[in-house]
Amino acid sequence: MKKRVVLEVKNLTVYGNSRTILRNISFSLEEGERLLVVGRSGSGKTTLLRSLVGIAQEVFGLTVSGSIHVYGERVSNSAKASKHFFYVPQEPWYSIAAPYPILELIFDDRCNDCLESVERFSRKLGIHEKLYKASTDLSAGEAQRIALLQALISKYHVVLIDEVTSYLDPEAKRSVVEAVKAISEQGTAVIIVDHDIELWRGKVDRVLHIDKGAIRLYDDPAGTPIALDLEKLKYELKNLRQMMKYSEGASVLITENVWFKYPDSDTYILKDVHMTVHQHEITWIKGKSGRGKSTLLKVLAGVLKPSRGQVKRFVNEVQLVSENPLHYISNPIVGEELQWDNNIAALVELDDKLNVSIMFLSSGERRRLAIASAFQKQPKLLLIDEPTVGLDPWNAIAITKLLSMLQSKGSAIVVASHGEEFQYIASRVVEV
Amino acid sequence: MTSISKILSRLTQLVLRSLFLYGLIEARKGSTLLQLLFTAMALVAVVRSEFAALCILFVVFVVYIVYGIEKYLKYSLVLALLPAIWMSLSNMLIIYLKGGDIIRAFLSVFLRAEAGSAVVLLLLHTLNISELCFILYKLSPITSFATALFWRLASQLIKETTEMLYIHGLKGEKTWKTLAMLFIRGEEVVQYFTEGIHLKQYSYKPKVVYSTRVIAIQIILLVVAMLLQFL
Repeated sequence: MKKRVVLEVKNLTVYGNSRTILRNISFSLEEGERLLVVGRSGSGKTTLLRSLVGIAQEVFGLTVSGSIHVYGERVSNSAKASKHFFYVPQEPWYSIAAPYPILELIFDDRCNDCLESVERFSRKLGIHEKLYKASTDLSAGEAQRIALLQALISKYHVVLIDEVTSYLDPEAKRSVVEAVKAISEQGTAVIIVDHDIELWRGKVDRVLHIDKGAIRLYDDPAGTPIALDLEKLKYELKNLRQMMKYSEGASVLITENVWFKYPDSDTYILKDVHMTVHQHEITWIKGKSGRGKSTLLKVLAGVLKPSRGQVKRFVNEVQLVSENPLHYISNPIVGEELQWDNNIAALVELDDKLNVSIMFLSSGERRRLAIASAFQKQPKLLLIDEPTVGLDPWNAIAITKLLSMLQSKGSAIVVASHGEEFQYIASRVVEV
Repeated sequence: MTSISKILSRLTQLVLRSLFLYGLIEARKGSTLLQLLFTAMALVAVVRSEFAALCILFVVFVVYIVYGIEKYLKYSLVLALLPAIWMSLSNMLIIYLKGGDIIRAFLSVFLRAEAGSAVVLLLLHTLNISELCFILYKLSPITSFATALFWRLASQLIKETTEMLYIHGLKGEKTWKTLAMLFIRGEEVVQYFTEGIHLKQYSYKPKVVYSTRVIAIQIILLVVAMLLQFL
């Protein structure tokens, strides 16, 4: 049986910031179809999603021309788009307006007597226990699955998910793929923006590759030009591993029998942790989301006190760069943060942005700035939480190279991350 | 790290834990009106008599145990210690100058301040957000939406403040710089939310969640507060 066309986009052109971001884009989607959108950072992937739902015009002030129809009805603004589209932005936390996820779900006008569906699908997505928690305490994967749960029970016609797996560990990625499958099986068309083309092979119907604002459609993610780029990056990382030199220096930190539990919890998130950190080493704390990687890092830094056991720090010069680099940066201008040190700025390729406000930096640039600033303090111990999370592969590898360079200069570095790229530079792995 | 940053970081952590420790607990499924009535009557009783203040403190303690949220009480009372001690010491000084019983003066104000704080914090801990949003929606949908978002944002920003203060403390930065950066972060959070929930404003329609057990507890509390008026 022939499926109905849900979404039809014709000659979509987006203009803003004195350039054409997307030009003459046309494509259509049938009921239940899954479309993967790939392309390098800045190619216009997010702008495409924002244009479909009217946000590009109404929030970001871009000029959009062309036509968008859903089931034949023209969608010309966000009010009309809200009847058909469900949008999950790159930072999934900010798509939840209610203080508790369950309220977010039942406050949706489409959710009438939907508690049974909430119960059923939340169990299916593995987030049933999180429904009554505070929205602030959700991890990225959990926030994303709450958003997808809302899309699932409220039965929107088209679901748009931006950078769907950039914050997720491998297991959470697989559960998101399952959620997308469940959504499309009920007839909803899904557009997914992501860099992880391996993950989506065989799981999407078509791939839309954007390059410099123009698109081309493919059947297989592996056939896109970006697949070749990613292969080259992998090769680069393997080379990096061979070039790195490790030497075990003096101990800078030791944990003995460390246990930790949060005050609202009855269970320990850290249990009997023993670890030693040496100079000239990169220690990689790895593990799934929610297993306590960030908590361990905060305990090592002293932000949190262990419930039992002790952390012995043998150095005073400790720096902590948290998952959000803005928590570390303490000056509004790049140059001020780096004390106008051109050499340090050049190390992280920010030497041409010394006079730029941090508000105008991309997330990759902010992260490089925070790490460079921490490095400038010449800490004996540098603790970094999820340095590559939310970044595209190119930025993630730039950060990995930067850390390997810092290690060669003598700092002890502890990285908490689920990013597999750290296997290439870590000299010690601690699994939580 | 600077001691001011460390103290402020611990203080904000205490505020976070005393206000936003738990998720949507059962205690938040009662009637806001009943809870407001209890709060008003309990505060009157606290002001009128020290014994009533002691009784109210005991009742509030029992309520937290019944709801299974006694950790809230622990952090709240610790937080309330700051104004309570300050007010008690001020009163003690005045009574000392007047030549009265300073121990009694201290305890009288301290007990009332702690009991009063406990009653107000119980109101905050049991406020039914769904009911509040529902009522406000009838008056102004945008105010209702903003209320839900405020409750969501408040805990997020306090949590981030705690971390920023500590991290900047490790960096050796002055505390005012942290506060300045908090404004920048606040602006960024607003931008993210503007994008993330732009479509949701059109499908927002709050619904009320009640628990008969909680309403029954609130009625008992109200009766107790009324009886205490006669002490």
